[in-house]
Amino acid sequence: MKRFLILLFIFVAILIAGFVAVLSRANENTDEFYYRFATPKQSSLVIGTSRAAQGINPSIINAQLGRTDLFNYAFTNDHSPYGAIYLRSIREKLNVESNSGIFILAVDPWCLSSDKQAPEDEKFFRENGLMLDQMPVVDMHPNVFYLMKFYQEPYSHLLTGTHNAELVLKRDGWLEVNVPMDSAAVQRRTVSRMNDYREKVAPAYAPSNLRMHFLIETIAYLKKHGNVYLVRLPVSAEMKLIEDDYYPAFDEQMTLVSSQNTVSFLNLRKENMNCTFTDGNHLSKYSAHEVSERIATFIKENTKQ
Amino acid sequence: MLFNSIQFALFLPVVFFLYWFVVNRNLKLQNVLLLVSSYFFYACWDYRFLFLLIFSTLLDYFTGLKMSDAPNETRKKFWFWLSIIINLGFLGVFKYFNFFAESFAQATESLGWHVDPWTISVILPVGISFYTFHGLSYVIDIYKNRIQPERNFVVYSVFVSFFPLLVAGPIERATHLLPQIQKVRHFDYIRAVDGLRQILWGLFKKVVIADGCAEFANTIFNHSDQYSGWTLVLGALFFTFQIYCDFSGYSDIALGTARLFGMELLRNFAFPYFSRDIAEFWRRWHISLSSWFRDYLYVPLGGSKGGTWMKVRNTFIIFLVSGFWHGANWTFIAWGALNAIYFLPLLLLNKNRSNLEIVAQGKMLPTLRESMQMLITFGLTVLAWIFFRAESISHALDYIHDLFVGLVQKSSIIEAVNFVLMRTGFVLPAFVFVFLMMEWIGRERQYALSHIGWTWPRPVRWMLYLAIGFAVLLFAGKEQQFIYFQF
Repeated sequence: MKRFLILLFIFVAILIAGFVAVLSRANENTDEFYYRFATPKQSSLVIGTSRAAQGINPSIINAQLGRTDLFNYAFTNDHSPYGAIYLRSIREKLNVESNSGIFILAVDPWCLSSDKQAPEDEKFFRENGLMLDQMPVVDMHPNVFYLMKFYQEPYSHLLTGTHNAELVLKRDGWLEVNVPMDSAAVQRRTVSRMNDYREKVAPAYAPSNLRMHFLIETIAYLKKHGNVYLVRLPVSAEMKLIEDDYYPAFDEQMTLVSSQNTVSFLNLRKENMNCTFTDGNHLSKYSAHEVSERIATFIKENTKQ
Repeated sequence: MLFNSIQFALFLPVVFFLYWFVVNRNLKLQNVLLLVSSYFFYACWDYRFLFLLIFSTLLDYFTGLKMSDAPNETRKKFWFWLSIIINLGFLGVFKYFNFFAESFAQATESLGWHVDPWTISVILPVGISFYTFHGLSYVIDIYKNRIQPERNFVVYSVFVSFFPLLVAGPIERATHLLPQIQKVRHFDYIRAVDGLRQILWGLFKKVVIADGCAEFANTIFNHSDQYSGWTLVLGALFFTFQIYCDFSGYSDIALGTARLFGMELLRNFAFPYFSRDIAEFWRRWHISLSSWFRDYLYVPLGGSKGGTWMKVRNTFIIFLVSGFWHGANWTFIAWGALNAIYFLPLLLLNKNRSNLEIVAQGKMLPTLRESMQMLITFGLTVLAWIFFRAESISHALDYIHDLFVGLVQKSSIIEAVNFVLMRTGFVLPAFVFVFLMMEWIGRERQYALSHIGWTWPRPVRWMLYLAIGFAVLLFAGKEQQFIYFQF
C-alpha cells in the first residue's frame, strides 16, 4: 500500500505540475472574461454590463487623463446588474488602499431591473449562482477557480493559444468585438436583439428599488476611494424607443440619484453623437473610442480636486 | 457526480482512504462504507430518486427471501410476479409512459380521431434501467433455483448500488458479484495499479476521443440538411467513435474503480469494432446487457432451438427489446430492427458462431479476408448508428438518403475536405488514429492499455501514462455527460 500511494502521489504531482504550467499560459486572449479575474486589485474601475464592457475603453480615458490605472470590470446584463453579488465582487477587485481612483458606473434601465414576479426579492436576482456569485478570488493568475469552473474550452487551447477572434479582451479589461459591420449584418443582429428585448426581456423585467438601493450603496462605497461618475451610454433609435416605453422616468431617476449622492451624471443618450452599434444595443469599437473620449472630457470637466 | 468531474476526483480518494485505512479488514464496515458512499454518490444527482433506489432494493430483497421461504409453488410464483410487475412498472412509468401515450395519440390521429395524450412530466431517474435489471436478474435466478437469496440486507444493497456500476452498468449478476461482497477484501498492489491504468484509459477514451468527436458529430447531425455525402459520412464516423469511447470509457472507469476496492466487475466491451461479423459484434458490444437478454429473454423464449420461424421471431424480439431498452424512441427500435436484419442471415445459415476467437490472434496484422470482413461489419454498424443518433426516423432516412446521393458528387468531397481543414483540424483525427492503433495492439487483453509498455523500463512506461494523463487534462473542458446515463 505504501509503495502504491508513493508512486501514485508522484504520478499525480507530475501531472498537476504540468497542468498548472498550462493554466499559467492563460492570458487576456483566453476568453471574454478570464483576464478580468487575473489582474491585481485595481484602483479605478469601469462598472456596468456588456454595454460598458464593450463601450468604455479605459486606454482612451487613461491617455486623456494622464492615468494608467482605469480598468474595465463590467460583464454582462445577466452577470453584473447592480446588486449584492456585483458589489461584493467590486469590493474584492478594488485596491482599498487607494483613495484617488475614478469610477465610471454605466447605468441603464435593465441593470436596475429584476424579475417581474418579484423585483424586490433578492432570491430572484438573475445573477444568483452565476460566475460572479461563484468566484471566490478575482485577482489571481492563473485564476484556477475560473479556469476549472467557468472556462468552456478544452485546456489545450491555452497551450496552442487558440481563441475567439470575434471577442478580444484587452489588458485594460475592455472587450473588443470584431464582427462584420456591413449594413446587412448589422441589420440582422439589430432585428434579432430588438426582438429579444421587446418580446422577452421587457415583458419579464420590472424596475427594482432594491437594485437602485444597491446602486446607491455601490456609489457610496466607491466614493470612499475616489470620484464616481454615472454614465448612460448611447443606444440605437430602436433601443431608445424600447427603453423609453419600458422605463420612461429613468433619466429623471438618475438625475435625482446623482444629485442626492453628489456624483456627476453624463447622459450620452441626450447628446447628438453619431454612433454605430453592432446590434442596436452595443457600441461598435469605433464608437466606443469616440464615446470614451467624450467620457474622459466629462471627467476632466467634473473632477473634484 | 460524473466520473470525469472534479467532485468524483475528490470523492474517490476519500472513499478509498476510508476503505483501506479506517474500515480495512472488517467486512461489515467495508460494506457499510460502500453502501453509504454509493447512496451519497447517487444522491448527488437527485436525492429524491434515492428513495426509489432504496425501495427497489427493498422490494427485491424481500421478494427474494419470500420466494425462498415460500411453502408452495403458487406462493413462490406470487412473490416472483409481484417483484417483476413492480420493477417493470416503475421502469414503464418513468421511462416509457409518455412514449406510449404519444404513440397512441398519433395512431388514433391517423385513424381520424383526435386524442389529447395525457403525458406526465417526469424526470428519468438516472441508472433506473441498470439497477432494475440488476434486481430482475437476482429475482429470476432465485425463482429458477439458480441461487439462494442473500439474507444480509447490506450485502444485497451493495450488490445493487455499488457506485461504480450504479448509473450505467455493467449489469452485474448475483452469481458473480455477491460472492465478492460476502468476503473481506484485501489490498492487492497489482490489482490496484491495474485499476488505475484502466481508469486512465477510460478517461482518455471519454474526454479525448468521445467528447472530441461529440462536438463534430453534433454539428453535422444537428444541421444534417446543410451537409452532403462525405461530410455526412464523417458525421456518422464521429458518432461511431463517440458512442463507443463514451460508453466503453465509462465501463473502463467503472471496472478500474471497482478494482481499487478489490472487486472485479463483468467485462462490458471487447474491442467490438474489430468484429468480423455482426454476431461477433454483439458478443463484444455491451456484453453485460447482451448476455442479460440472452439468458433472461432469448433462452426462455426458446432461443435458436426451434424452427426457422421461431429463430426469426426470437431474434427480432431480442433486438427490438434491446433497442427499446435504450429509450422510448422509434429510432432505437429501428436501430434494434436493423441489427436483427443484419444478424438473421448469419443465424439462419448457422454462421453466427463462426468467429469466436480474437481476430488475427498472435499476429500483428489481419489477413486481407479478415480486413474486408471487419470493414464490412464496421460499415454496417456505422449505418445502424445513424438511426441511434438521429432525432427521428425521418431524420435518419433523410440523413442516409443525402449521404448516399452525395457520395458521387465532387462538391461533397470538397465540402468534407473543407470541414476537416476548417473545423476538425488534424489533432482529433490523429488521436483517433493513435487510439485505434492502441486498441488493435491491446485487443487480446481486457482493455487496450492493459499490457502496452509492460516490458518497457518504468520511466518510459510512465512517460506513456503521463502523456495519456496529460492529454486527458488538456482536452478536459466543460464536463460532458455520459450518453448511457440517459438510458
